[in-house]
Amino acid sequence: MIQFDKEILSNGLTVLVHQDFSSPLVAMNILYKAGARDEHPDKTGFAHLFEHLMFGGSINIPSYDEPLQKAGGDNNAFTSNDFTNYYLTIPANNIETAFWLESDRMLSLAFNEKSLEVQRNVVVEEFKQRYLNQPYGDAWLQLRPLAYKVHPYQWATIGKDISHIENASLDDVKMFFNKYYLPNNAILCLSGAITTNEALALCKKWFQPIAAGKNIQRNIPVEPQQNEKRIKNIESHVPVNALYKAYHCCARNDADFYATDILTDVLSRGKSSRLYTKLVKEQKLFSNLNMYMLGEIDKSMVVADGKINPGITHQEAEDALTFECNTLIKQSVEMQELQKIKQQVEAGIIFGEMGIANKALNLCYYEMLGNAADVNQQAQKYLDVTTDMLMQTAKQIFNENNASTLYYHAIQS
Amino acid sequence: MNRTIQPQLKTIEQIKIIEAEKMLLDNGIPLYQIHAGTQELIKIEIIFPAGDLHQPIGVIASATAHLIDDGTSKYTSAQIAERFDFYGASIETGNDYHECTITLYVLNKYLEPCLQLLAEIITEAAYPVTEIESFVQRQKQNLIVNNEKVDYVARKQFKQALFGNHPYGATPELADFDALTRSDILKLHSSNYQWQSATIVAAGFITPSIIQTINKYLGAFTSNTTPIVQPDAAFKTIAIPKPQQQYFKKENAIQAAIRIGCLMVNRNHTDFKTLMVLNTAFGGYFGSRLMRNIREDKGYTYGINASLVSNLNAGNLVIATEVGQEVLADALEQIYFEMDRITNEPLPDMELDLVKQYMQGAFLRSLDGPFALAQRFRTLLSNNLSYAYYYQYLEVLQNVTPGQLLAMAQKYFNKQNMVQVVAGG
Repeated sequence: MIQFDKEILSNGLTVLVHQDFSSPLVAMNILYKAGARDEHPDKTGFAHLFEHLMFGGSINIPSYDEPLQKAGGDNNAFTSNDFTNYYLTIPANNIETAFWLESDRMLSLAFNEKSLEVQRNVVVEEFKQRYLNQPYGDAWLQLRPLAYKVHPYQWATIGKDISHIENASLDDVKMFFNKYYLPNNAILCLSGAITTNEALALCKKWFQPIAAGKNIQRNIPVEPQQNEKRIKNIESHVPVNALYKAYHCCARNDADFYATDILTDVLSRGKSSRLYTKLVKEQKLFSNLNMYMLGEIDKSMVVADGKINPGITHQEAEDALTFECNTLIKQSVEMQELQKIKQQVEAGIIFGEMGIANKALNLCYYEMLGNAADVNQQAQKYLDVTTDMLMQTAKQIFNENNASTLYYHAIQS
Repeated sequence: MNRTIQPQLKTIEQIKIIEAEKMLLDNGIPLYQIHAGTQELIKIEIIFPAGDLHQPIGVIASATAHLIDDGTSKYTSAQIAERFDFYGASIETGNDYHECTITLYVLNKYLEPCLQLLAEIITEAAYPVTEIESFVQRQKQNLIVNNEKVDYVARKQFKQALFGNHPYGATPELADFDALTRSDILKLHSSNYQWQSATIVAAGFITPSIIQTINKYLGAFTSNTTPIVQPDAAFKTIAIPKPQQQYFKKENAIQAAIRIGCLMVNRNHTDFKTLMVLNTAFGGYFGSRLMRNIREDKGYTYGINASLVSNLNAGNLVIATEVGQEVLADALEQIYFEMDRITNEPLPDMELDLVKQYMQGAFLRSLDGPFALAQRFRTLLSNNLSYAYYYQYLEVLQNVTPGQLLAMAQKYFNKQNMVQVVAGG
């Protein structure tokens, strides 16, 4: 249970406050509703490149990190397909430095060529380090465009192609900022050793003067229903054969989100899950195998990825995986197994609420989805899932015409 | 309101660390408890002296730790997993050079059934042959994947170059897994997983009834009479490696992984705390000299850092990064340039102030919540240190001068002593 207060400032900025005086720190989390799905197909990777530029100095403050570190603070950020999130923690008595820094970069960035040039290079190295220079690092660059033909989830946050980053201009960057980095497109949460009154007073002082911008109209194309099995073979210098299989599933706010999540838990949560006990331990088809839901805002994916043991064909491995998925359509999950998952979910939620930074992120995330108060309804929504709902949902998802599969074939170098 | 001026900074108030309290269970095992946090959950670590230094060869210590929850005479691995999963609990097992740790994460309300099972598993671990085989196969597959990563290759070769034949220099080889036998595992389990040598650390929402439960299930055991295997006395000393430069070719690599470092004093040496400040300024945080030069100014890398690694018998410095293959030569040059700079010029006061403030904040963050507090305590426990160590560290963070840091740099950051390993295309 996370208690919080909420207020929307006159410029549209949503403010959430969670008081926790068991910590000597305060966490400030700012979520901007701008992710890779908001990018133009010819300028992908922008939301993420932009995240880097947010550390290159703002209109009145040449350096972001130094003053924060001087105040004993630390920070980081991440970009997803749906949003970009910035968070910091700082000793409570220096919290005003966080307001000063974050409000200035919401106001405007410094936008200089040198910072853009350097961050373009850093992101290109990140692209290489994470996506190109790792075995299977390109899996998401391959899988997303196989599964999505029109929706922007067809590219990963790093972008479709390295050239989009290399060619990013200062004007492109400014346009992105002016469109999305607005108080009325952001959610701010303070969590930790701060009272609601103090937090709101500081918000009004530092953030309220920032002018609201035009409300964002999103016209994100809807992915049509997939009606054919899609496969792609990749011959690559990977050490062992592998497969990645993606099924389309519901959107985050759809009613069957919770049933979908429990399905992937039945299959793949913990060492007693079906895929691990049957396909990894008993049948020894995979050396590891995971299945999870991405849980994105728009219609998302359930993905299985596994490394196949020597002497096992892709077909044998995939057939066994499909068999386990199909069992969920044909046979009801036992009550004991469902209860196990629900108790795992309960523990996961309680452990996940440890620490002021996690609580601040959770509140912002649920506010983005529609209502921060829903963070406290999650456990109940999982408890409400029935075995019938699981069968219904499994039937919609586990269908070969709804699947896209990558087969990695290891070539010996 | 003037947005160009930073709000008045306040110094971090007196830091008070929530300390672990020691008590003895009925059978004399020490239990250290840390009561903190607001949620009714708990983490229990059970520690045995069964690290890599206690094994005759290969991967016995890690197999013994990893496979401990994979079967007893009564339960199969799957039944055990099912039981813990049913209560939403999780078990982590692992080892380092000196110790193995079995960790239980559980909601308070399910502690009793989980702890009962855990105690039974540790005592009765059967190490079924099929589980060992499956472990070996999975670990070999992982190793084959890791061997393709320049980052892994550089890390492995660097350890080897620095520590030679000492266990600190070893990383698992495929052959070690092939050589693993059940009797090796059983032998280490029976000698070094004895309750008389166990230490328990419990952190979270601790109540008297939690303590009672721990005592009920862990305080009743007596030990067998097998002598505990102690590490070879020769492992106490570490030979100083020759300065060297090695290159490992990895076809098709588009980035090169760099490791540079040397042996160093460890946490038990009086210089260590001051060295921590020096190392942070050099490469230990986002605003460090290495990051500013090689990432923020040149854009050669996604990240670079320098760390001080402290083990019981030795410490070492390691600088780690991955850079574009085409900028490798200059990246190396810049790393040594920064090493020269920090040994030749005192840190400007402004820069040092920033580092000190940052490190005090980081220390405060490292005390946030029961699990973090437990981690801080483990560091003390493993190194036979008391909480005075952290209070002295805080004093150093407040008082250290540029002159002291320069002396440290000249004493320890010597370019001529460095071991350099690169794995790349």
